[in-house]
Amino acid sequence: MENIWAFLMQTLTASVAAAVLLIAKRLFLDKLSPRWQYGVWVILALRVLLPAGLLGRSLLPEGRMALETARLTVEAKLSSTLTQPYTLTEVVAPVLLLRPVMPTSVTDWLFIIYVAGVVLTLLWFLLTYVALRRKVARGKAPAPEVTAQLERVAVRYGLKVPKRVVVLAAAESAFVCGPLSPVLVLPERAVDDKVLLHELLHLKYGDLWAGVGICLLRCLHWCNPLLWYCWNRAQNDSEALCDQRVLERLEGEQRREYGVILLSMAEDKYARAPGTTSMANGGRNIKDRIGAIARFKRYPRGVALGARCVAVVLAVTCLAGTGGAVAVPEYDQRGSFAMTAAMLNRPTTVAGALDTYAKAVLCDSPVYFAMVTPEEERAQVVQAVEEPFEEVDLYASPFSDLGYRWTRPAWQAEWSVMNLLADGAGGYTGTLFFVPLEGDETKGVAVQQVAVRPEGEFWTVTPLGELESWMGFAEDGAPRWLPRNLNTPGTTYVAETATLRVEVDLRMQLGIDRTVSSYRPQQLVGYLSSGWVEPAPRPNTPFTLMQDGFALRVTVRQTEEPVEVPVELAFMSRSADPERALSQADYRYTLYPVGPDEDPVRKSTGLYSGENMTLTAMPEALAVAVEDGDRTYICVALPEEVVP
Amino acid sequence: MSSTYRGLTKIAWGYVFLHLNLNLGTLNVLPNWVGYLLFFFAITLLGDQLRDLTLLKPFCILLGARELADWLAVFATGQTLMGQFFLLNALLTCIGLYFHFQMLTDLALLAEAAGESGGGLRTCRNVDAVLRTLMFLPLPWEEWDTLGTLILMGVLVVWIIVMFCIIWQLFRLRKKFA
Repeated sequence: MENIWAFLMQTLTASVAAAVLLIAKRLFLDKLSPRWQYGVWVILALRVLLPAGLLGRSLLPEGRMALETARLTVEAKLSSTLTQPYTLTEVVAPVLLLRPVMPTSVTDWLFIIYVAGVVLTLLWFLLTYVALRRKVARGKAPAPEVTAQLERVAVRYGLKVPKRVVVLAAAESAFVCGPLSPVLVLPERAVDDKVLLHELLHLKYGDLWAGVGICLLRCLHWCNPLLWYCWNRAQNDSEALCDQRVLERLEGEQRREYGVILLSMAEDKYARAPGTTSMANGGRNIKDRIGAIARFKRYPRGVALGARCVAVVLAVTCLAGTGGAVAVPEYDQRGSFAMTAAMLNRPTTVAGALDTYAKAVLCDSPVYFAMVTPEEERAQVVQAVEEPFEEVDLYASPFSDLGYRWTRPAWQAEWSVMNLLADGAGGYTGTLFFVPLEGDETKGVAVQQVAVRPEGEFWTVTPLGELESWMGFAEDGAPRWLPRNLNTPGTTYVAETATLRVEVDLRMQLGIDRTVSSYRPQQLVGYLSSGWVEPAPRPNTPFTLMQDGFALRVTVRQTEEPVEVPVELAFMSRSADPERALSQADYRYTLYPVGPDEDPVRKSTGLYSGENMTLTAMPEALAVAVEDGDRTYICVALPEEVVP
Repeated sequence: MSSTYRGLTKIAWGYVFLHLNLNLGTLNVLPNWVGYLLFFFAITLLGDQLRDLTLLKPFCILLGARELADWLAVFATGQTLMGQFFLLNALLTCIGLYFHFQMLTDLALLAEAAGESGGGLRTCRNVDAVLRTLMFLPLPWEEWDTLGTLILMGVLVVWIIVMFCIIWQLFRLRKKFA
């Protein structure tokens, strides 16, 4: 936790888990065993120790939305050192991580106060423990008959006697102190065997260590009263479980006597002291424990399975949360909520980023731009999202010049990307195409160079140029099949054998289908000829459509004369083995060189579709198999010329 | 006809309603809430013999109300209602898990009291609890392609067999009380 917002996210997530566990415990109060009642607190401890929002999952997405909105609203007006206003809150670690910087805002100071609180609470627990140990150190050795009684109880129940036993005048009842070198502290008055059994069982099951863990968790969330209440309940449940263990070792009348002993116990002032366990933990808690004793029964072994399954469901709920995302904002939404929704819906795939950017262009929507804008430019976008909604100026758009149809809220165009090439830094560059919907007649297509870059686990899009109009581009009135057109962006891959030079022009169009539907639910009588663009982006979509086109030229290296030999090729990474790529590739082709009057795109499979496409960008290289005389050469063709 | 016989009949038919769905469009003509209604009446009838069973009445009401809400929502909108409330759904899953586990535990005791073996019902109870838990886990079934589909199909087939066994054992057990 590096700032106050990360702490708030962590503590709110823990609080929701605590509420769920408290409800579950109330539901199963008289149905599941004290072991279960105590054991489920492990889920809360793990929740506190696991960073909130891990793997993009959340316990309460609406709560996160509210927190992020508050953060954005507050931090936009501040210049905090510890918090970046336009990034999502991230809990890097569940413990506090204080950077050595000077606080510059209210939220920075709040985090400093939180850190100071953790340190002070820790110090307070430590001093309380040290003071108690000093008192215990002054305790007297027990009388020989008390030692004998203790050994008798330990032998009878197969338990160990602690190395140190002292009698303390101030103690009102027995308790154990110190997890490393436990000391059994006894009051001056006579102690019943069952009370000794209770304390020895605490030692056997390591309850002191659980107490230490609870103290540390209390420190970490010192200002969260709900969690403090839960830890109190956990310590009471620890006592109730110890009662259960005692009762399991007692018979008939002894059980009733044990209840009477509990009833006679007053609150011990050491009950909540760190590193101790005390049988007397307050009148109200003793009442609850008497109730548990009244319900006492031995739980059959087989029934434990049901209890464990319930615990697993609770653990999965509280620890994994839900992947359910906040809804993608509407194109015309404005304000902090819209901005938060945009930031919580940032694209997680390249295709998702391009779809979001394309929808932002088509709807001229600042909130969609906000979803894909890189962090360094986000401040400007936030300002645009804060401003009131304005209708799109239709005549200022290149789509208007091209004669595209406008149906609120978007220009009716389909997007696809060509020449999506790796930029060597983990991102891609490519040419974004906007083509008319099927049946629509336009004067051309709109084109823009873009860069798609990773930013953490998300993808951003940066325009590399203006949105341009390519007039008169349409072939046969339908410019949808872009790779067939040699004017579209492509890359030439070149390979050479001893005598031949192989040049492969590759054009690849990637996109997502299902963008367009011919049915618009809210319009019964609508567009009969054309579909419409679904305006909401899909930030997590994979590419689901790919079209490719090839042109092949094989020449003699020395004379540059064309040669008509077939070439087999497959897509591969730069470092892969071409022979293996040819035998195992998902995409493999056989091409034939053609004469100057023929269609150069000899092999175009036209369309690959589906969500499991393995190819999502231009290949780094091509594995090429070419026949030269009676020999077949296998070599690698690398990109030589890129046509933007 | 004894109250035990009628109670067991109701539970058996309750399981039929719970696990057999016949849909006319979005209308489920064998709604699950009817199953819980039958369980509720059965608990009343069997309460004298199985004291622990009466502890399940509040849970039965909650689960029935959930199923009724979902049934109405599916009928009206085509989508379940409770699936939209993650935490509530999780708590109801816990309740459902415990409810069926404890009810089958009690019925196994009843079978043993009648001189029958309760082992079959206990085995079905255990498998049912494990499968319910497994189905709740956020496992990426869809990403596992064929393997995921095969596992899912396997789980569903086992579950159907288990449910068939439970219903068959309950109908067989009621004959003891005819």
